[in-house]
Amino acid sequence: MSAPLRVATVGNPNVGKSSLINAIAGSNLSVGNWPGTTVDRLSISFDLDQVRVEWVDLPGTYSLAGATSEESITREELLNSPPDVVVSVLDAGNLERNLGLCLELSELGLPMVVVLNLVDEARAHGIEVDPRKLADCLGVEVIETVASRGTGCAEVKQALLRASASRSLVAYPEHFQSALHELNESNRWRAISLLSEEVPGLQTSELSRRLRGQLEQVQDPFLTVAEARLNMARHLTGDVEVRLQPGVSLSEKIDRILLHPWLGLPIFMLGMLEVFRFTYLFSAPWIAYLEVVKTVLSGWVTSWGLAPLVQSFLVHGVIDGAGTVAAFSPVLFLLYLAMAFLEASGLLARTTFLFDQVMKWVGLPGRSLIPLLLGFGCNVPAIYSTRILPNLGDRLRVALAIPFMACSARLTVFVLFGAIFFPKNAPYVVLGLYLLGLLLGLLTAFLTRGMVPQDSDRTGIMEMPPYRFPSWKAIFRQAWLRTRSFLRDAAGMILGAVLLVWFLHQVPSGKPENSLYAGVSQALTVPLAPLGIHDWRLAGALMPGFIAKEVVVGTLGVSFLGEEPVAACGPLDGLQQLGSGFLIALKDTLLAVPQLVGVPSAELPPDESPGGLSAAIGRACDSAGALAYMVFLLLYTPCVATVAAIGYEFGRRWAIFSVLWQVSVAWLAGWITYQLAS
Amino acid sequence: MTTPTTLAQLPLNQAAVVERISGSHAFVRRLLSLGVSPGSGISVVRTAPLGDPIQVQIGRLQLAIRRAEAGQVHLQQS
Repeated sequence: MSAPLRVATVGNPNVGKSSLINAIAGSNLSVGNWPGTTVDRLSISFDLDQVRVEWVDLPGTYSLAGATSEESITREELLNSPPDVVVSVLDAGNLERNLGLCLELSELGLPMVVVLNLVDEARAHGIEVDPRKLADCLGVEVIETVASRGTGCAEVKQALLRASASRSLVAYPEHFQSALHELNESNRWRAISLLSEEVPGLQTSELSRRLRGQLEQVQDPFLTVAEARLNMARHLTGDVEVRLQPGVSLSEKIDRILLHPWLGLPIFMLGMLEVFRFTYLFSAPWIAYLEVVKTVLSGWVTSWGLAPLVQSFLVHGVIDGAGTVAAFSPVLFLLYLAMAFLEASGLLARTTFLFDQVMKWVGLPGRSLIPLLLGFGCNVPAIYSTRILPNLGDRLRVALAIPFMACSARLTVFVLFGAIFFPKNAPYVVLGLYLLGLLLGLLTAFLTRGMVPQDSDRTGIMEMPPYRFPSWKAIFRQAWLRTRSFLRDAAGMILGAVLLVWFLHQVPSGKPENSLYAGVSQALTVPLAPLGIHDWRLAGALMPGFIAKEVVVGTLGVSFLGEEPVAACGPLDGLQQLGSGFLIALKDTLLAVPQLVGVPSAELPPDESPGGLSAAIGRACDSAGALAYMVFLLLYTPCVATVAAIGYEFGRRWAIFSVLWQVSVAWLAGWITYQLAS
Repeated sequence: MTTPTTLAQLPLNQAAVVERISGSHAFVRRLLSLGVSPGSGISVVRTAPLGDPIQVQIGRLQLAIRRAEAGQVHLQQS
């Protein structure tokens, strides 16, 4: 077999590039990052008539010359390792604008295939594009597709093998042409860029600087080039496009409701509640099922009659640890699903529009609200979702604010303590905690304005793409790939931390009060004493709480009431429990569907902690201390998985900063709470 | 009645034509590459519930743009 055929897709954002690669990929799509960045890199490889094809999807971009990371990646890839075929993806309904990039691309002189995507949507808007005419004008093959349905994808594959070199079509004014001629640079795109503007990474020469200086005498060459390309795009579009009189589009009708002057904001809030309801309703049955799996596995291990220490290691170390990791996945998967839907449907852009003004107060773009709100579900996907922000500095500041959002895991502790110490006012106490977290998160984003680097290309301009019903296949795959990468990246850290806590509990063997865990917990009560927390069991639960806030209530149960004995179970009995548990989870998932529609309830979920725990905790501290404990637990540190996510996205330094900052804020806020309350 | 000189002053649903765009290269490039250029017909579709940004329409393209930046898009005087 000969050398592989390297293919790269280039196109504006929102033209369906990822739908195209998803449709062509079948099942072998791989997702990674572009080196040194956190921009997603989608790639596939397949065999086509005995030729190996390696296809990469370049980030969506409007031009090749700018300084944003999307533009830089696309430019460097095309210039430094030029693909054998460029696939230029165009939105048939926005031909003029899309042709701008296509014309710029053709100045690179690489073999090219043009994909005219979204032809169905264009037709629905009364726009017909003649692909044959367009092919004649451009001199390369043009293929019509509806990538989300896979229409035309086979033809795209075939066209790769016979792609012909693109040629420059744009006619520049006389004076610019002669400068191009004098510069005598073989790559036309490079020559044009050298003469028109500063492009990061393009080496200028004395000649190019002199010529550019001369051009500036006539007109800013940047504008000369931009106007020439636009005129060409306009001219071409006029030739190949037929437009019927458009009516009011469906998108506009939807916008009239969703962006309504005073209905817009309440509708958005209801929509976000619905996202959380969806996540909660569909994840709860599977989290419950994971408990069943844990019980059965523990029961099997117990029935083997191993030495107590080995048995405890397997049950309370390995199985509990793996269970903690696995318990993340239903929530993560569903939140990622919701996220991918928001992004692909065009709703995300509307959020930005609605909330730009609010977020401007803390110096962030409007869409940063989405990661912050997702944080109330789970901080981990929220950190990854900061990728929707184009600017690295903004992303980091939002990521530092996210762990202050009270994720659903923290709610379990609030519910327990609220019921014990504030039986009459529990909902208000919990609401207050949520607001406190939000406020301190926004304050963090505000205070870090000057601390993080800002991109220079920072504008508030944003395209509002038409609403689209996204392809389920692409969304499910995206959510699954991201969940899998979480399991891969964070599993080790979580498991290690669970094993460490297990170890502290075991050494030295004997009564739990004498264990190393109790000793460390006792030491923790010293800094926590000013917050009114004197009981080592309360202080100690903060350690496993660092692993995952879900386990705090469980740990308190063990510390106060002792370990519950694990019931042994036989192999057949266990299998039967696994089977029936699965059916119950499936049934509960289906039963959750009608519950998606309903009035939001202000009631807290029921407290499911073991009986007797409430009374024991009630004796362990007073209500002022309990309030301070809740505040501290709300704020004190992101969980291990969130720290890992911050580290992965922004580097270890920022992950450490995040932990230290939150511990300081938590202690201070807890101390103030205790002083005010007592 | 004074005619609006920039996009920021353009009343809702009134058609206008872009004369020139001022500001940084990054800003001008962003608009040009989105297809907003001298000669483009433009209109304001709606204002965000909180007053900023505004939604503008250029052909079939819908854009959100902050008022401050809309002030850099100058309109032809009829």
